[in-house]
Amino acid sequence: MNYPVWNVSFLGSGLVVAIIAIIHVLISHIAVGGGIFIAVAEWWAGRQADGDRVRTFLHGFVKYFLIYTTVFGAMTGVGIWFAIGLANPEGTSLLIHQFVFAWATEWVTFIGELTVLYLYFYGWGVNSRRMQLLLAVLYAVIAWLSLFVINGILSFMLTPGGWTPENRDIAAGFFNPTFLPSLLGRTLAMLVLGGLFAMLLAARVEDGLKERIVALAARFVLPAAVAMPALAVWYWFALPEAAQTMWLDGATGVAGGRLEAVTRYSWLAVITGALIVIGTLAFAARPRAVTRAAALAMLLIAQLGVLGGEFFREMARKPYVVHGTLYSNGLWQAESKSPATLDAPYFEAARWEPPGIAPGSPAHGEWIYRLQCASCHTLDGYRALDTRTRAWTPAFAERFLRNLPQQGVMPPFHGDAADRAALAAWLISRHGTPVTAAEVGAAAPEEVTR
Amino acid sequence: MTPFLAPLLGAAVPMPSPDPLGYPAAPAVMQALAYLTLTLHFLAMMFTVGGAMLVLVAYLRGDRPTQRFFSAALPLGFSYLVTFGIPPLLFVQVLYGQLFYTSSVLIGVFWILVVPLLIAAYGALYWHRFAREGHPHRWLAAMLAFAAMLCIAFIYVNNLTLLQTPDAWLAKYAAHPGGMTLNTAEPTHGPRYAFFMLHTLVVAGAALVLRGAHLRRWGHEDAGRSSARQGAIAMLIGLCGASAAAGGVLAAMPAGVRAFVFGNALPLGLLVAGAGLDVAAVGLGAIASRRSGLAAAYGAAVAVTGALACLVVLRDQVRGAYLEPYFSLSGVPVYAQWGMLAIFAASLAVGLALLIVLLCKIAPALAAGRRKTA
Repeated sequence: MNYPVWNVSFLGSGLVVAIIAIIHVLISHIAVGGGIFIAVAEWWAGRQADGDRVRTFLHGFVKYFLIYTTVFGAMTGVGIWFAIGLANPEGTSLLIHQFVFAWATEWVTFIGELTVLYLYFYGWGVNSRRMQLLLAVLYAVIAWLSLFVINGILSFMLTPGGWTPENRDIAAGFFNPTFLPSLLGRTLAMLVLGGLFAMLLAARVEDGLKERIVALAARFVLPAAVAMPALAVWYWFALPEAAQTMWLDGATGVAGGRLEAVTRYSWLAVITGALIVIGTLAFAARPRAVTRAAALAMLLIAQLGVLGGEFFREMARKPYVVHGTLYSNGLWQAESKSPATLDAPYFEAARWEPPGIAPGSPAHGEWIYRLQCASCHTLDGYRALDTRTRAWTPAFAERFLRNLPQQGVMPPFHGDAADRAALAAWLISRHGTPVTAAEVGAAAPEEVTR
Repeated sequence: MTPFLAPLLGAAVPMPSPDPLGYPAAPAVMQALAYLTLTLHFLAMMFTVGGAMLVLVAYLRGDRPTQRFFSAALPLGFSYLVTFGIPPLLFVQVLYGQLFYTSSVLIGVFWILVVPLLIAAYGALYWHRFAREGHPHRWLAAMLAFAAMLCIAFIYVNNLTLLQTPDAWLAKYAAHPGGMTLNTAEPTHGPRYAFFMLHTLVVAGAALVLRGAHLRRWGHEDAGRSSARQGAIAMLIGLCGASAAAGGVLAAMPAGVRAFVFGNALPLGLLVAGAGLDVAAVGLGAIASRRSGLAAAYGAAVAVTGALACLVVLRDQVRGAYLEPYFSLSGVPVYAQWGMLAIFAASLAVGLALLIVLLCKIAPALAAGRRKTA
């Protein structure tokens, strides 16, 4: 209500964020894991009889790595920032204001990563081997530090720990209950992805060297992939109780099977993880069989795994942007606890409805939707309200809106009975049978007394 | 509603509340950091956009050395323009978040379009960098990158002019809740965009002047003189165009804002100093194109950087004047995060020290390689 809501037809603003984010997460994890691979491979090259051949491979590796991680990785990182500011300005503002110097420190790591990577790449054939190794190690360390910082902020959103808007305790929020399992889990995921990326680029190396590089990469992937489930269990036990309950409850969601989604995504991550282990074992056993297509398929499986993991995290946080503090639609939980605020006419608090909207009119309902629902729901696309309200009756709609939090993944409705009636009437009328707000209002008490 | 916001709300303007967490440091600290990093961002941005323009000219003229120089330098310039663009965007969200998020949402479709445009521009610059020299489509990649960057700058100007004109917001949102609108009707929009794009020639020209001076020092007299001459001409054209556009911006401003600029010592001083430094930069560029030696070329680079710093501060002063009826930085409470500020400062100091040491060790060898292949 503080900000205008970006109404994105069909996709919804949340899906715009998700599309950019899952691409970015894969690449950014490769940027760290691949960096660790480069450092290890530089050291390893020094111990090989044909070290110069290995370094030539590494130079080609870094060229693709540089272009891929900067063009697609860095730009989609900026893209997430743009997208979350559009999809949820209130939440983005909270994260920026609370963690501005953490973000600024993250920026220092970006400058470091970029510059060291350029010095490493352009220094090939100019720098001494020792300097190249030093630069590779420095890149890996700085890249991991960037993970350290961003992980504190990301995990804060799901488990803010002892932080509250009143105490503004940054340390409590940053080093929150999921900070460590998330940091270690992501580090392992990065090793997996860095190894898979190395396999992709090793696919075109001549026989003899190819087998050894695939074997080196497999040593990144397998131990990390096998250790992941333990981290996942630790992470699960650190989740908020509501998220655990949501996951355990099974598929009984009312509005579109919410629990199926969170379960589905966690299983997607598990299955893709298992496939990666199996595929890597096959690669390690038959390194000559590693083709670009096969290695690319493994990276695509990993992309699905990233999708599963990230969507699980997002779903587990619902209905909040910052758990227990700020709802996805910009309503602060503290405000929702005050009946005087929560049940007051919505347009008294909202700022973005056009002037002159008649109470109970279709425009009244439509603007309630735009300002209160559209941050998560489209009408006919992603999380479509038309689908979810197809069977609504006026009485059911009114009761449903009054009891939204019972769904577990929905914030409370902000507004009075007239607002609920206007929204319900507008949503039901979209199915072809016009219903007025007055009819919804009249049906509500009847339902209650029945 | 947060109590401190009440006086900030304009009667007919839907002004969002600033973040209830307040400012994490005094606004002056955030402004200083924003000024410093925005100057660096403008420097890298103008080098890259102006360089893309000059590389296209080099294709028309069949000037291979200039193509080679910008081909190698532009991906690096782009990397740093994006990276130096992060902190100013961060600090503008801290200081003016409620305005910035709103203007971004109002032009949401175009604002998110910046992301694929960035990818297209950056990808094209890398393709241009690594494609073989005689590739028939190389110039197209440079053209694509240049066009994408022009579009990005256009969208930025829309957002940042809309940020400071809240009276346009409600009508725009009612008509386009999906964000399919721009702010081109705002009177300063056109000249402001023209100013920034034309001024890129001054910065990229200064880079060519610097390159020319170094080439001459390394014994490549003809190549150096040619580069410096091209740079000096680009700087002069850029300065003339940007001056006309700056006049357009001043003429198109609301009378009250213009009166603020001309009636107060700080903005007027910044305007005069910025213009003076720009003129000095072009003069030094012209001197460097005629004489050998590095001093004039470095002087031109320093002067143009100083001009950009003046522009950055003046721009923020003008924004304050535009927003004066709606919002004041002094109205937002400060909940200082000194510990976090210290961690940032320490990480910045360590990071910069590390990079300086590495550059001192590596740059001479890299420069020696460049000297041989120049």
